[in-house]
Amino acid sequence: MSLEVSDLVGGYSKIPVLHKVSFSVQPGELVGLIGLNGAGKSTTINHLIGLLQPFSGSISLNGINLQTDPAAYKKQIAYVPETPILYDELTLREHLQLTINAYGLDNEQAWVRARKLLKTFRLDNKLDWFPADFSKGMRQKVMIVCAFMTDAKMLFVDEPFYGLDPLAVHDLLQLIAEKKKQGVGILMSTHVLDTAQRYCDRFVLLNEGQVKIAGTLQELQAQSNHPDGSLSDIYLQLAKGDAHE
Amino acid sequence: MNKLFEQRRRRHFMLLLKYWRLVFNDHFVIALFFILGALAYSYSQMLPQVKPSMWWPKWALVIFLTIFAQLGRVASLLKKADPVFLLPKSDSMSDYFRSAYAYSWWLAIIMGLAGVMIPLPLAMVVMHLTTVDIIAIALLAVCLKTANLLIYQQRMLFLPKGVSSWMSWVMPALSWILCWFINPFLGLALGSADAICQHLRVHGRRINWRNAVSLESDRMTGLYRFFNLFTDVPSVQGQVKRRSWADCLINWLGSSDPWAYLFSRGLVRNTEVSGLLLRLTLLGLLIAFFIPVAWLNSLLVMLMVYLIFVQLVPFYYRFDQIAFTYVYPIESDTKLQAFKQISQKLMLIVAVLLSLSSIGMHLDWLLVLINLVLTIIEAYLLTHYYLNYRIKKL
Repeated sequence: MSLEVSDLVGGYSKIPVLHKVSFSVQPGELVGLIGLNGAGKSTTINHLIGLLQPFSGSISLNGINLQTDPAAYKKQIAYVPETPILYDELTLREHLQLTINAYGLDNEQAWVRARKLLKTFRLDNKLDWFPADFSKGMRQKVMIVCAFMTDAKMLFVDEPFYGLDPLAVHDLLQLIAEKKKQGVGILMSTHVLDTAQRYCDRFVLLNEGQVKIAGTLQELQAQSNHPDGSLSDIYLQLAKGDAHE
Repeated sequence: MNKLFEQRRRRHFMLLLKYWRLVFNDHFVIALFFILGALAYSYSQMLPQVKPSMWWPKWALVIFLTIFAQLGRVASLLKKADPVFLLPKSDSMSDYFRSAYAYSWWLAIIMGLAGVMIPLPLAMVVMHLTTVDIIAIALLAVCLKTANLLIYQQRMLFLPKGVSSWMSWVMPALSWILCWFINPFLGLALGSADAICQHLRVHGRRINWRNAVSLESDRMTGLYRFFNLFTDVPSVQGQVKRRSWADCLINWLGSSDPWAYLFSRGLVRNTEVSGLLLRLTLLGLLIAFFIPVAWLNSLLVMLMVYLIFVQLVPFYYRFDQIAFTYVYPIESDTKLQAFKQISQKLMLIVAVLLSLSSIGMHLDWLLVLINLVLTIIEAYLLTHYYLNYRIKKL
């Protein structure tokens, strides 16, 4: 039981950006989606959360297909976008309440989890503020709190480290570790390769909309003839190789 | 610098043309014409009942014309980047402003003369006016407009003694009082003195870039807001105010359903939408109160209910740009359901308010009852059938 993506072809308009992308994320696993700007990381995530319609291929989570049963699929996922997206008209408290209502969570239990997260990110005294007026880092924290307070089985986290202070990055990594222990699968796209190397269980390296290689660090090292290369060595070699072709 | 203004004026004109074309494509305009027609009709019905001995017609003339003198602003067509790119040219900007002033002046004068024409029939009933008197009155309107545009322009300049904004109300009021109660020529004398005095204050002053740019951007926002009544203007977004006093209204409008939760908060707190609905409702209340002819009153009240509803519909799309609207596990048909419920509640408030207001000065309870029945049926039809049609069409 896991997230299964097979032969996904997709993009924004008629021109495909993704070409037969396949990979999986197991429960309790943190998978890093790695690629340059424009490699197709965010496009992949937008397909996986149902914002875009695939041209072909299938996406399923714990046996529930996104195309055939979108509501049941979406009940199992939560999403932290690359750029914080907030409702201008809602206060922080109302953003959390909306999330609780939308996922149909138990009000009291969800608020207990939310308060703990708010305290971690030092937002607990700003419940009645409009997050749309917050700084980039604080808005990003609001997005993280909203996604992590749900009981989603699968989290999609797009470039989470931008604009976060070092303490918040540390706290976020700890939250991810907790979620993994609860058996939640996490797909995280990022450029920050050394952090990814330290925390991710497996990697999917995307380039120009195709999966170049995927696997654990050892598997990547073996496949790319870089026996003790770091993730960044392997990725740079791959990206440069393609650029010179 | 003259060329730059000329170029911008042409581009501005094309922009206006584009929006006007959209404006005249909408049912909203037909409804507005109806309201204007109805007002003109009531005005003509009212004229024969006015006697020269009544105390109020002359004061009504003063108030109407003083308010009318406030309309019209100087379109400087400055852009936000101008203080950066045109800063070295600051000294030769006076050419630019002269062209800008001339352009706005002609528009304002045409509008001002049209404004004098409206109450003239009323004036003719109350007092005897010769042709020379009427020319003096028209010239007075021109002088007051000129003075007020100059006062507006002062806000774009560095002035040693500050801007005399209050003069833009006091001088027209005094001039029109002199004109109607004593002699039109006396009013004209004061009005022209005002225009000359304001011209001297403006002469040879340096431009205050910050004020000039923010003034122009306010003017454009006002213009866009007007066009936004008829069509969607991308730059009109509106601000958000907390309005905690309205929390009980929010709770009554929206339940725990995610879409209702969003719509209710958005409608109450977004100043653009709530302001528009409020302004139209106030206009409707005035119309309902002051139109005495019963069938016309009912017709107009129903038209206002329709107009207000049409302005409400685009809010359906307010949250479409936000990804979470799609990511949350919500069934897609609940959105229309929620919007239907909320617009039903809002339209019910509007219908009750407008109907109550149609009681008028004669305490016509029967009319209130008739309007109440009519508008509630109308609100039901609009929110249950017309909404589906509009949303499919858009």
